[in-house]
Amino acid sequence: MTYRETVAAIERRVRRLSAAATAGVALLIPAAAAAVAAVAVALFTVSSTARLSVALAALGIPSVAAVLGFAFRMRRPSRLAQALLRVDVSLGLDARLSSLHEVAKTAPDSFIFRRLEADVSLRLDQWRKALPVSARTVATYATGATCVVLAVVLSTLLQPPHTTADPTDRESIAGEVRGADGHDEPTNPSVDGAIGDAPTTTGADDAADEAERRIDDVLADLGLEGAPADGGGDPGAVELGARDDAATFDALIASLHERLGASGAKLTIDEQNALREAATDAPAPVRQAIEDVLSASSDAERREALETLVASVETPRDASQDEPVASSRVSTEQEPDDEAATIAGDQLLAGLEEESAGGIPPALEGDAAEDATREARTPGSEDAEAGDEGPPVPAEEDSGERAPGSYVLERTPTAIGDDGEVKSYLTTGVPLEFAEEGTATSARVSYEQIESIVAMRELSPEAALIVRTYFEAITEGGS
Amino acid sequence: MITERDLETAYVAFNRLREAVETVIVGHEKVVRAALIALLCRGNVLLEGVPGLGKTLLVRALAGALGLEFSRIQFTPDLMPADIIGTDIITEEDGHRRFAFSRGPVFANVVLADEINRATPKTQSALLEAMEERTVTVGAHTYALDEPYVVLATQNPIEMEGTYPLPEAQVDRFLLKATVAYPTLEELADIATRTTEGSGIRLPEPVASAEDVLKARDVVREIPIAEGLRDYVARLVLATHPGSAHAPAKVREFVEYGASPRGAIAAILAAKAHAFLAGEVNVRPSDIEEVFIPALAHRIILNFRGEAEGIRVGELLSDVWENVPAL
Repeated sequence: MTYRETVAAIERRVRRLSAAATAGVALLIPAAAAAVAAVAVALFTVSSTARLSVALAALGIPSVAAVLGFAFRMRRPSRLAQALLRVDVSLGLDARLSSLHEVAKTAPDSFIFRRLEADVSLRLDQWRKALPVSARTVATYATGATCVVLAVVLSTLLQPPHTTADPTDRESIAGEVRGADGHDEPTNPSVDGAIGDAPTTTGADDAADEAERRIDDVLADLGLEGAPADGGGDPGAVELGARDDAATFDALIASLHERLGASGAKLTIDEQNALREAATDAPAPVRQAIEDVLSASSDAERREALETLVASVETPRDASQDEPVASSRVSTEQEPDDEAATIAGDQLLAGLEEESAGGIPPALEGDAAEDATREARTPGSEDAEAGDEGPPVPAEEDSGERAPGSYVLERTPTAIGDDGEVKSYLTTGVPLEFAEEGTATSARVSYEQIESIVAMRELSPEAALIVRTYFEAITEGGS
Repeated sequence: MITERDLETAYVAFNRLREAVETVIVGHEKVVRAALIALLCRGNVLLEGVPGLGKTLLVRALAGALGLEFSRIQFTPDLMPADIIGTDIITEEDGHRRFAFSRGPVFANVVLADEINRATPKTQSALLEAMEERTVTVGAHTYALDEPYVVLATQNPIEMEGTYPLPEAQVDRFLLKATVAYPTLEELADIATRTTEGSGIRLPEPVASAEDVLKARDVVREIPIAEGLRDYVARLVLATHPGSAHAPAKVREFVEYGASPRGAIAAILAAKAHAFLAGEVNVRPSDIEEVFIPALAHRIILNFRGEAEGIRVGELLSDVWENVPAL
């Protein structure tokens, strides 16, 4: 290898090395930025589109920047003199190669050139070891690649924290709701899968499936589409789901009672299956009554058993008036720091129960079957409605009676733990606006009205958010 | 363009010159080499050392070995510039009186300015033009000095009373500053033997001519120095400045002014001459290392703190050398 070929090779290598170093830096900077962006996306963004965009950007932008950096540096002049001196020092040439390069530019025909060329020619083959890839360049590439991988992994696999809440909390809430309604029906499998199983799944396939599952899907399973994302795991939403199940069961009983009592027809296969399914989680008297209905051999016996079933259903229903508070108690145990928020939530839940019993069920409005069931099992409801026409009755004497001046004195028929009746937490005499006759809606209360109560309690922002979420859940959208 | 023969001739001539000087001077290889380098680079040397170490003998031996005219100027406080460069005197020729220039001792090839720091700055500065321009101006006339021309000045570093430190402008005009150290035991015994036995010390016979010196100067200037090494010298010189990013901590702390650009020029030229004297055809990093301190030591001006704490410039430059990497 001649001197000129060696210098040309050295120059190419120097150019590539410096271009590679520049490309490494050009790779590292956007890669680090992408990693930071991916962390932010992983923490706060649910949208799979945004995540995919960040992942693609994390792959694309650093790569393009590295290529551009490499191309830019390749076009810049190289520091050949320093490289030649480095080769000189590395090979122990006493700066002969550098000097030779200098003489080649000024006096290539001189005897000094020939002498220096003769001196260096024997050792020039080893010049490559003087110009290795620097550890800094390797470290830069390694760091940049790590950032890219991290960005892609974070933005595609990691889910936001609020979608992976503690499953035990959700389960306990759901369990309390089931107990509150006096039914032990299995909850919707899709809901259980979304809420309870997702965080505990460790298998690669399950993890990938759960990663793909979006909070919107969970809300859709809960029947709360359009509700805020934060309410996905809200106890109120679960409460409503359980209430729907109870209403369905009541509607089934009412339907059977009406159909079989009038025509004397037999149970259909579907009805039998529905009753058997309901019996699995029902209390013993109800289960016995269901079995009697299913095993009845004659129409008269079936009607009698059906009457017994209706009566047995009423008994646990009356006994379960306090159950919503039980679910609220669970919340209190889960978040002792937010006790005030829980109390406010209890009040709202109690109000919901009150409305459910008193004929103003905003969350279940339009459910004719449930209305029928409620009328059948709530003898006092007529009294309450009749009370609308009479004078105001003190809350202690008749809870839920509506005053003619369009306000009621509420008495919540339940208690919270050892703190006594809920009524002690309510402001009696707060006027409520009722819909005019003929309109489809019932009383409408905006969250702003509730917010004044929340503000009075001096709740923390987190607790206030829980109250708002719960309110919007039970009012299906905010009023 | 020089030929290989020119190089060989010059190298042989200076090798003979060195051997001739070393027959008279015992030890002091670095001082002798500094004098030869100054001769090769068209420079001047400042020799620093206590009296009696052979400084004057060195200069006389060098002049004798070259067969060149030698003059010695003993600097004293009452020495006047005219005593150095000469003056116009009235002469009578053919019945006519006229002014004629009487040359001073500066008109020689090898000038020894002994104890130069004993003269006043005015007299010291009389050497400036001769050292740098190789000319002497008296009145309206400028006289050229014969080449090769070299000034070797000595100064006593111990006896400071009644001395006048050299002005920075003049110090900067010395290519190198060489410290004449005290001889070792063996060298001292050898000196005693040579001077007390036989006919004593005899100056060498001429072994090289002025023409040899001038040709060797041309050869030295053709010796290549790599671009990377030139950059290295520049970084070294910049590192002597307290405000430079390359300056080590001691320089920032104790130096008032660093080396001038003449320092870089002197270092590169001296490195070339050093490589030539070593028989090389290119400047090596070791050549720069050898001349780095002699070329820059007298160009560094310490600040008050450095003077008060007795900081040695040589130590500062060693610190610079260690802290500025070649690559």
